[in-house]
Amino acid sequence: MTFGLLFDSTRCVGCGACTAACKEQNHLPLPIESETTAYTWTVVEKRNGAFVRRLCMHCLDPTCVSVCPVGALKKTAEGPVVYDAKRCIGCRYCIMACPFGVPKYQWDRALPVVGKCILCADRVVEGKATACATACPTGATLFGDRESLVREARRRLETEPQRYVDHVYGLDEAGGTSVLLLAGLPFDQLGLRTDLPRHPMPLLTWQVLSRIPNFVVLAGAFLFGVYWITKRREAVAEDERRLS
Amino acid sequence: MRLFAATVVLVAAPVLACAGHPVPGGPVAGAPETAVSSPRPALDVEVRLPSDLAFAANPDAPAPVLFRHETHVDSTAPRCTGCHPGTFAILKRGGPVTHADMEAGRSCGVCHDGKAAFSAADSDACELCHQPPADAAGQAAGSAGGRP
Amino acid sequence: MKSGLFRRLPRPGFWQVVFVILGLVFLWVTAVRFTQGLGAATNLSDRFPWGLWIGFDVLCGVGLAAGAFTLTATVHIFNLERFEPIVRPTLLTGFLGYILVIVGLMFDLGQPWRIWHALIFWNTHSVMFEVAWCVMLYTTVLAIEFAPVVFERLRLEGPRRIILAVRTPLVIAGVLLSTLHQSSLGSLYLIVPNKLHALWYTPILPFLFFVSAVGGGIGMVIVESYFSRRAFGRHLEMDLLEPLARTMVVVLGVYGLLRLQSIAAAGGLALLIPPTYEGWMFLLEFGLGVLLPVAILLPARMRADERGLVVAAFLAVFGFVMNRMNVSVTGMEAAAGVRYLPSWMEVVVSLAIVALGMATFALAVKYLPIFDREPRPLPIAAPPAPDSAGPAGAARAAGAAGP
Repeated sequence: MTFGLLFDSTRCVGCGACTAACKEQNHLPLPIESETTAYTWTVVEKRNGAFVRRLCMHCLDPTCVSVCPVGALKKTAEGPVVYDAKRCIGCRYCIMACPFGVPKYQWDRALPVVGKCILCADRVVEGKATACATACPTGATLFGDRESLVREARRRLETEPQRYVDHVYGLDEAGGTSVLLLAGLPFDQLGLRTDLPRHPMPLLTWQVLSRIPNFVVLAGAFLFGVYWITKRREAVAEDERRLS
Repeated sequence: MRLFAATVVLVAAPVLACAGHPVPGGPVAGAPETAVSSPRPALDVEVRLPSDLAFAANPDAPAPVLFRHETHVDSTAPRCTGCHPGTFAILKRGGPVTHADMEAGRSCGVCHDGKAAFSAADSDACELCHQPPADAAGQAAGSAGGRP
Repeated sequence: MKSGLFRRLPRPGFWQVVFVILGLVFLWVTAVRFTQGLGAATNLSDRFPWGLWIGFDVLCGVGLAAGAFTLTATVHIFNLERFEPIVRPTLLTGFLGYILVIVGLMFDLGQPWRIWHALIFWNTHSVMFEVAWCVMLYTTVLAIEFAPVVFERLRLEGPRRIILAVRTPLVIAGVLLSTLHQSSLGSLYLIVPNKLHALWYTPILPFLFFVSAVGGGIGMVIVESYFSRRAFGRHLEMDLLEPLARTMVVVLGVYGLLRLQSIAAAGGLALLIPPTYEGWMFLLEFGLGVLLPVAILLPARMRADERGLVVAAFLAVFGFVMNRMNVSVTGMEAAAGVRYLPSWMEVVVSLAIVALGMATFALAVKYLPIFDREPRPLPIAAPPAPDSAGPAGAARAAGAAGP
């Protein structure tokens, strides 16, 4: 069972309880900023008259997890993508690579680390809902098992088609995410990327990396072969010179 | 001075590559209009404000205090960040508040200072917070209190 | 160098003053960077996390030291012995280049003292992990390949012979490692097809990075020969430079065709008519870095003229640098929604790293048998009058004044 969130933009009133609860749960310093930073892991934005939350999408095959050279980011079995600040060397590849632009950095610190929503992994492991879902007064943010949330999202699209854009965002964007969104406006008008591939991004580099052992063997053999042939040619030429 | 020229070229290359757009602009990828400061009332969304919080009366209080979100929050356009989590915790029930705290500008005293709202020290305002037990239902709702 | 400076009190040369000022400012910038964080020292941000230090110091530094693996392969695998005289200076450049890349990383990484984490925390799915390991291993290989030069100077025959005995596998390892991480620097960008601009993003980006590294590396060898002549009176004979230049033309030609093909396949050619900002940057990169050098070197008459060779090589190196900057900065700006310009502190660090490299190169040439087969005797002659022969010349003059 892997958990996630369903955020329904049509039920969000922009109260900010989610941002407040997140700050408190994760002991993050105030103030609540207007966009996500290393110190504010979720915000509510108003775009084109509607409200949309910005937070980590907790992808099913996360790009950040695949690019981190020291494995500081991990997708847990329960669903959250968590971050181990003790491993991080600060290369910021995760920040560069994330298709949703989620991870943020502590640019002002001498000992900086990355900050992003961790889906309250410690609460989830104890069977509790995330802080944001707990605090939400309208039910715009729902916490639950991803399968159930997908079913609920589809049910809403079926029973109230006039209320929603007919798409569950996160179903297969970048290979699918644990955080799903519904909206009454086209998602790009809410500031969400709609140009993402349907497959997970890590496939793009794995295609290359997985060929490396083979390459090393073949190219190594080829180079040694060239060396052997040219050395042999030289030895033959040397012999001929001595004989003549 | 060819070395100098060469160095200039090698330095100019990266700077050139970073140089700004000849056409002014370079839009910041769609900035949101405003943050949570002016929410639009959502007409068909049911906003379930947290239930009332009852604070046990201490011996010299006229009555227990009942905090009601309804009197502090516009349920058609709620703005939780005004109090949470800066002044009050949102995930757990806070402890009792003394008048000393409030008059020092902490807790309820952040607003109930006579300027933003009536002063907590105003002796004519006691019953606004210290409410004698009303109907049984209200009391039950109050003592159930707090957030899960 | 400093003692030379004081002994020649009357008039320190222009470049020496520049070096000292740069050094002092660099020290101050270093203090700011490590006490106040990256935000205080750079113009990097969450929208633009990689800038000059990655784009120039890492990407260009690694690429431009590619001459090392190209030359060692040419001489020790393809057995073209006549290029042997330039192996040593190229190895030195390569080794210094990689050390300086690591210095650059020390500034760019958020917590560089943790760089050893890659040794014990593995993520074999990460291109960055592969780059880190290949760079570490290859720097070691370069150090070992270069060690005989030091052993020769110190007259340690034993260790020198040991290394020479394993030279072939060492060179093969070096070529493999180099190929892997030259291309991996391009692979880093494979994972952001939605961010890197169509004029640079292509599924064959790793291969393009490798080919352009070979071309740029050869260009660097020619450029270095030119600097060496000016600074040390040492240079390559035309009969070596000319075939190098021809190889560079072929490599650039193949690269150019691959590039155009991949852009056409992505539908990017439309972005050139009329050129957008990115289009202009591409035209600059491609025109000056690929088309012009090839055009200059095609006529045999031009190849016979050393000046023509050097100009073409300079252009190829410029094109290489511009390509790496375009991939890491220009091509990423549109998706990021911000324009990035390095802060003056970032520029100071990059300049200081380059200056450090040039000064170390000059020192090494002074005291190690790089260009000669025999170790040079310690200089006893009076230093020549300072000329404006550049920082290497000034370093030589300063070095000659003292032990």
